[in-house]
Amino acid sequence: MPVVTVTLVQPNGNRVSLPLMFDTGASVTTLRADLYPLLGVPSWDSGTPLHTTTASGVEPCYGYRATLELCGKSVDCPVNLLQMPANPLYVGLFGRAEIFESFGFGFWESNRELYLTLTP
Amino acid sequence: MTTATSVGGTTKNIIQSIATSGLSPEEVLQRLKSSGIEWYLTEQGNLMIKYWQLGAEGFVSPERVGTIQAQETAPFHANALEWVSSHLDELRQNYAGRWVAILGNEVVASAPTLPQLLDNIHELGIEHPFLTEIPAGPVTWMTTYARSFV
Repeated sequence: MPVVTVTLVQPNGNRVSLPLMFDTGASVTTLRADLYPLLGVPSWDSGTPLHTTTASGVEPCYGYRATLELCGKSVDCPVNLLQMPANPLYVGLFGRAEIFESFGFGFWESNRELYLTLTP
Repeated sequence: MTTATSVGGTTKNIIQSIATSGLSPEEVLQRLKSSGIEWYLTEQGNLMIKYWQLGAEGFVSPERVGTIQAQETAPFHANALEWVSSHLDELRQNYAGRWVAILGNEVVASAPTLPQLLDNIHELGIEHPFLTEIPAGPVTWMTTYARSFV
């Protein structure tokens, strides 16, 4: 399962590690709605209203910005909050916008490994 | 600024020349980056660097690589995830329906909601924990394809 551990830098500077599913189909990194306290916002639906296409249809989501760190690189990027089911192994989707261009990714199915380069 | 003493070869020369060049920290970091050296600044202001050095070319056949890698301990940043994955039954028994903070392969705090967990983490002085929720109900898998609202 392509899950990466990403550091989210909260507005107060504290860092937490979050498991996110590596999803090249997600245009924007998307977190579970109940992670809104990590973004320093009062509720999950206080950001920019957006819509997202999911496996179960078009769902409302809300847009924010956050600082994410992966492998020593820090990127300020858009982050959406979406009502998602609970899963202990991931709390969101690691999507493309403004962060994928900092890395190069490859997936080796035979070893079920995700390869990452910092100098794409 | 002090530098690591056990860095070898070309990397050592690059870092030493940069560190003694009189450049500002920002310029030093940019030089490291342009030299292909991965760096990370800790919250205490220490400069960490990571490098790979070829140990033995053609050490094993490509066919054996997958088998050997599968037996190895996961990298540091993956440890918490690996630990959660291999202890799911135990976690569901003890923490079903709760948010958990994991550090050093153990649950260091838990709470029924994320805001309560963040309060606990702050009170306990826990830094950089791995956070997730252990669901009480069945686990669902989904992916999404986001687009802007029109």
